[in-house]
This record gives sequence, structure tokens and C-alpha cells, in this order.
Amino acid sequence: MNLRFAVLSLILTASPVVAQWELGALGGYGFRRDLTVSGPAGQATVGFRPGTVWGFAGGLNEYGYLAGEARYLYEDGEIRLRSGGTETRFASRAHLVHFDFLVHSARSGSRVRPFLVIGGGVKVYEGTGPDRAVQPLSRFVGLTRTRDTKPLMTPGGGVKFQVSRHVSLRGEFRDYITPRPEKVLAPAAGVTMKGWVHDFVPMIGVMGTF
Amino acid sequence: MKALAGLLLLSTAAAAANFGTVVVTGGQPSDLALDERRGLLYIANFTGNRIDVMSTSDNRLGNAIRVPGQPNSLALSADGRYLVVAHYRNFAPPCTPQLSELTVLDLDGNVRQSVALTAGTHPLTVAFGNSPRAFVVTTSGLMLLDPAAATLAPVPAPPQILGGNLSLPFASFPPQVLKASSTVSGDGDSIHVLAEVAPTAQPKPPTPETPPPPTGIGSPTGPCTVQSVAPSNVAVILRYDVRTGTASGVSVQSEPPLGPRVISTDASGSMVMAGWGLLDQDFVLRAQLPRANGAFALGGHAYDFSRGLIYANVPPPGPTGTGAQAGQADGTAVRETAVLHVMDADNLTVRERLQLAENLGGKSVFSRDMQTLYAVSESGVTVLPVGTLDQQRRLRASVEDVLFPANACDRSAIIREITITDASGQRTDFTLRLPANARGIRTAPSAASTPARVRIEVDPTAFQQQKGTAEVPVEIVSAGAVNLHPPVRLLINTREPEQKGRILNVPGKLVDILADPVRDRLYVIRQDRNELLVFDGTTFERIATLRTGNTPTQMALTRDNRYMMVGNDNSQYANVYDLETLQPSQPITFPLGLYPRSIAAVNGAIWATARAASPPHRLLRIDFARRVATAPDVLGVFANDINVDSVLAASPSGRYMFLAMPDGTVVLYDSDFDAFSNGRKDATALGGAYSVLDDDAFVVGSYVLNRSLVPRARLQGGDGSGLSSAGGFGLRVSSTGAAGPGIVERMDLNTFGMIGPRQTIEAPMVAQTLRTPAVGQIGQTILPFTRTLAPLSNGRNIVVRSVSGLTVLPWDFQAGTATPMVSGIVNMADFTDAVAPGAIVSISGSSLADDTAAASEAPLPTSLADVCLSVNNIAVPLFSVAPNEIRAQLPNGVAGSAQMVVRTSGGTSSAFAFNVLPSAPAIFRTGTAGEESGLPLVYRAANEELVTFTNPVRVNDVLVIYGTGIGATSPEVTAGFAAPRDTIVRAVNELKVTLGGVPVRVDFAGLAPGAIGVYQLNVAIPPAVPEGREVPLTITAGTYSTTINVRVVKP
Repeated sequence: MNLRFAVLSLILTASPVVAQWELGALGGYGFRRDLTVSGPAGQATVGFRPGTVWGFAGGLNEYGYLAGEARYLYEDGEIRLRSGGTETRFASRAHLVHFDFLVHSARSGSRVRPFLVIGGGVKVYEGTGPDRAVQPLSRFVGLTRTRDTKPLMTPGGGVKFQVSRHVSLRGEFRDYITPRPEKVLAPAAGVTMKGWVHDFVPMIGVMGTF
Repeated sequence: MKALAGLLLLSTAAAAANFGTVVVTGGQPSDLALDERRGLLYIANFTGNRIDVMSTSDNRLGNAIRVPGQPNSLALSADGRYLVVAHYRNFAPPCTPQLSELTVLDLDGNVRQSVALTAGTHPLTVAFGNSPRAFVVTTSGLMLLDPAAATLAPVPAPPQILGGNLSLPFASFPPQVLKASSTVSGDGDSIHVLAEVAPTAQPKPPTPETPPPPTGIGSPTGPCTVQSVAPSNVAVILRYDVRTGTASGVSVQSEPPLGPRVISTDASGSMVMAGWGLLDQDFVLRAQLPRANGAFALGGHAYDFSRGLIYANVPPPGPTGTGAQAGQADGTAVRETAVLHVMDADNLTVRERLQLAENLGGKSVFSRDMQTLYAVSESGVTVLPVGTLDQQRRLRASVEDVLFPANACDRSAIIREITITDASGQRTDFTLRLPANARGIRTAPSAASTPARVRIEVDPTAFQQQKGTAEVPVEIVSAGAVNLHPPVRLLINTREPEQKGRILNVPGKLVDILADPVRDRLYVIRQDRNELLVFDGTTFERIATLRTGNTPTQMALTRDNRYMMVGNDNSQYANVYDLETLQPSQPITFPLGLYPRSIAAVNGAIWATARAASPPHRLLRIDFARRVATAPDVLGVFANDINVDSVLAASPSGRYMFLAMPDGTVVLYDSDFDAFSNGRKDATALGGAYSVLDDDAFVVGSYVLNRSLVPRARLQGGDGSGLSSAGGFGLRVSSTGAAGPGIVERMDLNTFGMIGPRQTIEAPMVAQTLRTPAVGQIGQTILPFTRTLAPLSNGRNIVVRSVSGLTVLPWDFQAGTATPMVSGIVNMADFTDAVAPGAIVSISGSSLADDTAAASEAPLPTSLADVCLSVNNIAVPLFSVAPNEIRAQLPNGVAGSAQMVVRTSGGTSSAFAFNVLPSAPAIFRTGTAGEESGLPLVYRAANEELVTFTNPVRVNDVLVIYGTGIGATSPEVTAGFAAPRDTIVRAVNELKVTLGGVPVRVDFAGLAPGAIGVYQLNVAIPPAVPEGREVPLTITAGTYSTTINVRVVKP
């Protein structure tokens, strides 16, 4: 319920007076960079394994070169914690909601429109694995069944192809950057976890324009 | 103690319901035939001159079949058509001779034929196998009867079989005069015959034309005289192969004669129980009934091959009739009612004793479905529903022994519980009986119905003068149960702190002990169950129970320590066990009539003493590779004639074997020269402990002999019970009386002087104590020489075979023990000094114990490894003791300022003052999760796992917390006892629990069921608790509280 409300709020906030609306779906595959963990017991890496990303977006083109767009994405994946030859995994997923500003290199109505994008929003990490008293490598990080909401920043770029009057295709590449979700990836006492979570996602999408 | 046992046995008479139904026939039955097609049992009434006919549906007698005189045996053909009746009329001169005959009754055609036998030929027994012809054993040989044609044909090569002469003294029974008995195997392919033969009898060829004896037929010779029914001690066991028509057998000379006159076999005829002996297909005596008396008047047995059992009624010798007075081998009078022993068919171990209404008297026959056994008995026939034995009322006690370990800290009453049940699940009344002279023992209830828990309370002050272990048998009797339950043995130990060792209760008659020199193991022979018990030398857990032959007496290891050999006094086999696999290996076969008792292995030779059925008793050499033993005619220059109670021991080097006899004779075998180098007799009698300490110290009783067997020293203190050597010293243990302490001491191997004697917790076994008559078994064999001492190869303990089973002594039992000192007390949960009544505590200090020991069962003992502890003069139950720590449970009745005192063999500590709070809750830190340990014992009910960083507390969780020190409970549970599982025990003091400062609902606070001193709290986590990695969980009782931190995660 809260997520749905947030999406609507972003879309409403970004609505222009005169607009060419776009609405469509996107999908891709995310590659996430591991975090480095160090503590008295040594070093480990923890992160999210690559997984599918899908969602939908809506926005409008305005002033010819600029556009605004709101987006919801769902990420599937597992958390992976590794040290030495030991590895443990924990089921997880994430929800992303963000608003983007797009700058195109061609005017609205062009057949091919490369663009750069910068956006922001929130990413909700969810650990969904089971609670267990014994979890391998818990001396580094406790992988926890809980929810952790983090602010999100997402730069990227791509290109749109107008294949007909009302249909366009797009391909894009994004980096979703968030702080560490330390409720889900709870570092053990005395353990230091460094870095930001980078989620590199190539996506393609189909948009309807009207 | 012997008097107690005697009283017990006397009171056993008629203490149970009777198993089976007696059908009174009148007259004296001699044989049975079961006609299942017609639902009838035919009973040959030898003196009544008739065949009684009993309906098997209601056990009522119908119209008898009138037959010619003296019907002694009968058999029914396999198709149920022909009933063959033998008539035995062997009247001896000067009686008028009479011809014997066979009557053939065609039951389908209602036709009767008579087959006359030649003069001097008298039928002893008849049987039908899988053949239309009946097998007939007569005084002149074996014959086959064609019942259709009423013709006889001889069977080749019969022996001369005896038949008793008529006329008889009045108190005579058919088995005494009919000197043969037969049985048919379950498959009908073989018929076995047990028959008496003359001592000089030789087989003779079949001679149907054999002329009649000189007395002639019809020659009047005058009035009859009474004939003797004295049996011969020579018998033959014949096997007639029905398929081939050939007979084979073995002649057996036995002492006593091979009674009762019954033979029974298994399904294939490969095992045969003949008289008191169980023989295999090679006629090797697998086992025999101990204390066999060879009586023929009464008794019987039957081989239940469907259940692997043998049912035997073996009345003791004496006047005929129920309840005969008999004498045991050791002179103890035993009054024994008619009892059916239910025995294992492989070694005749008595599993159970059932009360019969009267003694059996010879033949018996099973129904085809093996559900019912019909047996000739004193009044006629006893019908035994063996197939429904599981549904018969039979009492069972939960334990064989109950140990009451009193100690110097605690002279208050000791309470133990036992459970009495009925194996059939029925409610059966029973009564517990204590010996009339028993004092200081109460049972509650003393009479009840099964199932029942019986509380036994012992006042140690009634026994405290003994300083050892008193044995008191508690008899369990019932008018409703058919079994005679052996008594439960109460073992009441009243040691002083300075007495060494701890008791490991091992029930039964333990007759030998041996430590494995290369494995951390201990071997013990339990004679009353025919078992070799194997114990782990560190944990003392029983790791194997190996079946032996009947009446195992002594054991020995092979020189390579790979095999264990066990001599059995009532078997022709000595058992062999592979100690690597703990499995039986091929046994050693001894010659017929020789029973192995004591075995010793030296370099290149293994010798055994053997009891001979016909003396002289012998020394036999064992060929271990072939697993046979042979008796040399001579032992070097000496005759091979030894005392039956002789014993053997090998020297540690394996060079010498030492033979000691009760009459004072000692013999030495030198394996280096394969010679019996010495034989002397310097003492008039020998007994007690025996051992070879080294190649020049042969010890028996108090005599130390050199390798010429010349006495070189006398040991102080008598014969002793056990001898051994360890660590360059000799060891000896001796008894001060059955209920007193034992004495263990080291021995200087040069001077043979005793060093540093110490009292043990109870007396070691001596022959006199062991000779207390066995109850529940038929007999026993107790040698006058004893081996009761076993230093373990792990170098940590010395084990003594003692009154309660085993006594475990520390290796350095003489080590000077300093006075104990207590330096602190903390609870065992969070190790703070806050303690409350009933709390589990750790007491630190020095010299708190000589050894490390832990309690193995509930309730906890108040004395452990020579250590006892009191708080305000109340004995404290002990979990474990060690030199620097004692773990115990505080008594319920202490509060406020308290004084603690520890007593050990080193003395009594100074009083240690400490404070006992009414309630001091503490959570155990004994949880482990993966690599983490020391975790608080807090569980999430949702997944029943410990709360950890990765299993955090969640809203709406139910947490189960284990701790100690919560204080008084309702109902109160005595310290040292486990909390009941069927009653909720709640804490009396109010407890408050908070998580992150938020009150948490306490659903339950009380004792954890089944645990000792462990409290359990069940709490429900409300939604309002804060989230965090280190959220304080606090338990408060009164002014005292304890806190741990837990991780709380939302949602």
C-alpha cells in the first residue's frame, strides 16, 4: 500500500501542463557489486547475486529535449556471503521506486533519440530467507529476514526508437546506487562493512506514446 | 544373608496362580497322542488298563477305550486313522511271565487288531513319523509295525535296550519302569529315542527269531516279588531316519542318570533335548540343566521350536509329590513347588518361571499350531496354553537391583521408586514381601495392582554399622500372576567418606572379571544369565552382551589378545569371541562328558580344566586352530587327575601356567619346555584369590610360591578375594564380610609386604557370598578360587567385582588426599554468586575430590566418588565432582546465611559461609550454535532454535528461557529428583520479565519437566518492544534481577 502510494505521488508531482505521455514496461538483468567486510575473523564479501529486473514506467516528454519519468522495478535475487572457501546464501528481493529526468539529444518526434538520465527514489531490500540460529559466516554478517528501505540514486543512459506513431522501444543501462542495507546485511559486532551497493542493470522496454 | 535367601525361597511356595489346567484321569498315565482331526487327546493309562479320551475343546474326559493290560505307549498315524497301543507286561520271575502285545485301533473303520510280540519282547515306546508304519522300540530291538496288515519287521542294528521289570513298588511311576521314550521331529522325518541300556550292552543284530529267555512262557514260578526301579546311568540316544529307514545313535554314560525320561526335538531333529542334556546333530552336548538330579519319577520338557524355547519341569530329588523338599549342592534346603522353566533353546538360560499346579511326569505333545502343550502330569494331564503366554498375567519389575547409596553427609531416609507392571497389560494384584528380619525398610504401597510405582524408603541408620553394602531381597508375589518373579535386590550402602571407590551396579551373579590389556575394555561373566558382559573402560557403559554356554565359570584371552575364551560348566563347548568384532567365533569342542571350567593361555599352549561326568576330572590341551580339546593320559610324569574345582592362571610373560586345587595341590607347566615341571602339596587347603604376579611369584590364597612351587612368603590378611599386578606393584583386594567394606592394598613384589591398605566402598565377592543359592535359575557353579581385581589398561582405574556388581577405584587410590577446601560458590547458569534454594551451583576449591565422576541417573546421589557435601547439615545432591569443582543442586530448605562443608577421604573442609537468596534467577549460558558457544538458553518457539544474532527475537514470538535459581515451587520437588512429567510444577515467587523495558507476559514459570533443578519460563513478546541489536531482556524476582541482551528485529 505504501509503495503504490509513493508511485502515484511521484507521477502526479511530475505531471506537466502539456505532455506527450509514455507508458510501458521494462525488463533486464542486474549485476550487483559485492561489499567488502572485515573484522576480527578476517575478510568476507557480501552482496546480491545477479538476477532479473522488471517493472513499468510512465512519463512525458516536454520542451522537446527534456522528459520526466516515474518507474517501479522489482528485483529478484539471493544474498551471497563468502569467505575463504565458504559461501552462504539467503533469499532476498527488492523493490525500487524512483523518478528520473531524461535529456535527449534529439527532439521529440525523432525516430532515434539517445538520452542521458539521472534519477532518485527509494529501494526497499527484503531478506526473505529463514531464521536460523546457526548461519555460516555469521561472524561477519547476519543475513536477516527483514525489510530495509534505502535512498536510491540512479544515473544512466540509453536510446529510444520510435517504431510507429504510438509505440517506441528503448534500450538503456542504469546504475542503481544505494547505501548498505544493514538491517538485512547486519554486520556482526566488530565487523566493518564498506562501500555502496551498485546495481548495474541493462534493460529494454516497450513504451506506448499518446 | 544366606538365611535371608532361604527364607525367601521358602516363602515362594504357592505364591502365584497356576499356569495351565490339570485334567485328573486317575491311574498313572504314561503316554499321549493328539487326534486333532477328531479333537481328542488319547491318554495311555498304564495302571488303569485303558485309554482315556479327552476332548481338546473343553478338556473333559469322555468314554475310555478299554484295552488289554498295561498300555504304556501309543501313537497315532499321520493320517489319523490308526492308533497303536503298546502293552508292557514285563513281569519278572518268579511272576508268571506274560506276553506283551500291540493293539492297533482303526479309528475310521472301528476295527481292532492285536499284534502279539514274542516271548521276552516287550514294547517300550511307539511313534509315527512321515511313514505309514509305526516305529516300535522294544526290549529286544527296534521294529516297524504296518498297522494295516498288523505285521512287524525289524530295524537293523538296534542296541540292547533295557526295560524295567514288573512288579513295582507302590510309589513308582511309568517313566521309572518304561526305560525308553521317543519323540518325532516337527517335520516328521526323524524319530529320536532316549533309552536306558545295560552298562555292558553291546549292539546286537536284529533277531526276530531270538529265543525266549530261559524263564519261558507260561511256566508258573511262584508269587511275584517287588522289583527295583533303580535306573542305569548308561543310555543311548537313537535317531531313526524315517525316509531311509536307518538308525544311528550314541551311547551316553552319565552321572546322574539321564532323567527325566523325556526326549524332545526341534523342527528338523537337529537339536534334541534328552533327559537333562541338550545335544546337537553331532550329539555334542550344547547345554545341560545345571543341578541335574537324574530323577525319573517326575519331570518333563518340550521343545517349542516355533518360539526357540524349551519348557522344562525339573523337580528336585526327594519324595514324589508336589513341593518336594530338596537339598542344594551347597547344602541349602530349598522347597520348590512345581515350576515350569521357560528356557532359551540354545543354552538353556531360564527366561521365566511359571507356577504349575503339579509336576509333569514324562511325555508331552504339542498341538499342530504349537499353541497348546499337553503333558502327562502327576494327576493325569496338564494342558498348557503356551501360545497365549503373552496374555497370561505375569509380573515384571522395572529393575533387578535398587541401589541406596547412603553416605556420611546424609543419614536421612533414602527413597527410590520401582515400577511393577503386568507383561500382559492387565491389572494384577501383587504384594511386596521383605524378609522377616529386615529393619529400616518400608515399601509403599506394599500391595497394589499393576501398573504401580512403588516407593522404597530405607533408613540408613539401621545399616550404618556395616560400612559396606547390605543385600535385602524384596519378593514380589501375586495370587493372580502365573510367573514366579525373582526378587528385587535392595543394595544398601553405608560407606564412610574415607572408603574408596564408587559402585557401578551390575545385577546378577558375576563370577569372573578380566581387563583387556590392549583395549580400553572390561569383561565380566554373568553366570545366571549365561552372558559375557563387555564394558567400556572409560565410560563404563556396557558395549556388548555376548551369550555364552550354560553356566560360564571363567574366561581367558588368547596370547595375541584377539580372542576371548569362556569355559562353561554345563556345556561341552567353550565359547570363543572375536574381540575385534565382538562376535562369537567357532567354539572349542571338548570330549563327550567333559565340561570346561577354567582356561589359561601360555606361549604355544592353551589348557583348560574340565569337570568330568565320570571322574577323574581332567586337564585338557586346546588346539585353538582346530577348536578341539583333548585330554592327555598323563601330565608329564603326573597323572591327569585333578580336583574338579581347580583353577588355572598364566604368568604375565606367558611362560608358566599355574594350576591350583582346593586340596592344596599346585602344579606348574613350563611352556618353554612343554613340561609339567612341578607338582606339590604343601597346604592342606587352598582357596580365595589367585594370580601369577611374575615368573617367580605364584600366589594362591595367602601363599606366595616360587617357580619350584616352594612357599617363599605368606601374605598377611588371609586368602583375599582378588590379586593382580600393576605399575610394578602387586594389588590385592579382600573382604571384611559380605556387608562390610573391602580392603585394597598394594604389595611389594620383593618382600610381599602389604602397603597402604585402604577401605573400599563395599566388599569384593568371595566364594562364600557367591554361593548364595540362585533364585530364578536352576543351579550354579561357584569355584572356591576368585578373581575380582582388574586394573584397566587405560591406567586410570582399577575395577573390583563386588557385592553390587563393580567397584571402580582410582588408579592412585593410595594417593595422599589433602583436606578439602571450598573457595567459592556460583550458580551454574550465569556463574554469579547469586544462588537460591534448588539452584544448580558450581563449588570451587581444592582437593574437593580424588577423582572425576558424574552422576549417571536420577535422582542424584548425595555421595559421588568418595565425596559428599552438606549445606546447613543437609546433604546436597551431586551432579559431578572433580578435584577443583563440584556441581550440585542446593537443597530446597536453605535460606539466608548458610554453611557448606565438603567431606572427602582426605577429611572435612572448613565451613564455607555464603548467602542464599529466596530467588536469584539466572539464565544458563550453555547454548551452542555453530561456532558460537556460551549462548543464553533462550529459544524461539517458532522454530525451536536458540535466539542468536541470525535468529533474532520477533514481535509475537514466544520465547522459552531455561535457567536456575527461581526458588521455591509448588508442588515442591525434592532436590536431586527430576521434575515430574505428568504434573506442572510452578514457581512460587512472582517473576517479571521485560524486553527493552517493555513488560513481557509470562505464560509459565516453573520446573522444566524431566529435568533436575532447571527452570523454564515461557514468555510472549508484545508488538511494543523496541528493535535493536542489543535489547536487554531482564528477569526480576523480588529485588534481584538478571539481564541478557538479545537482537530484536521488526517486522
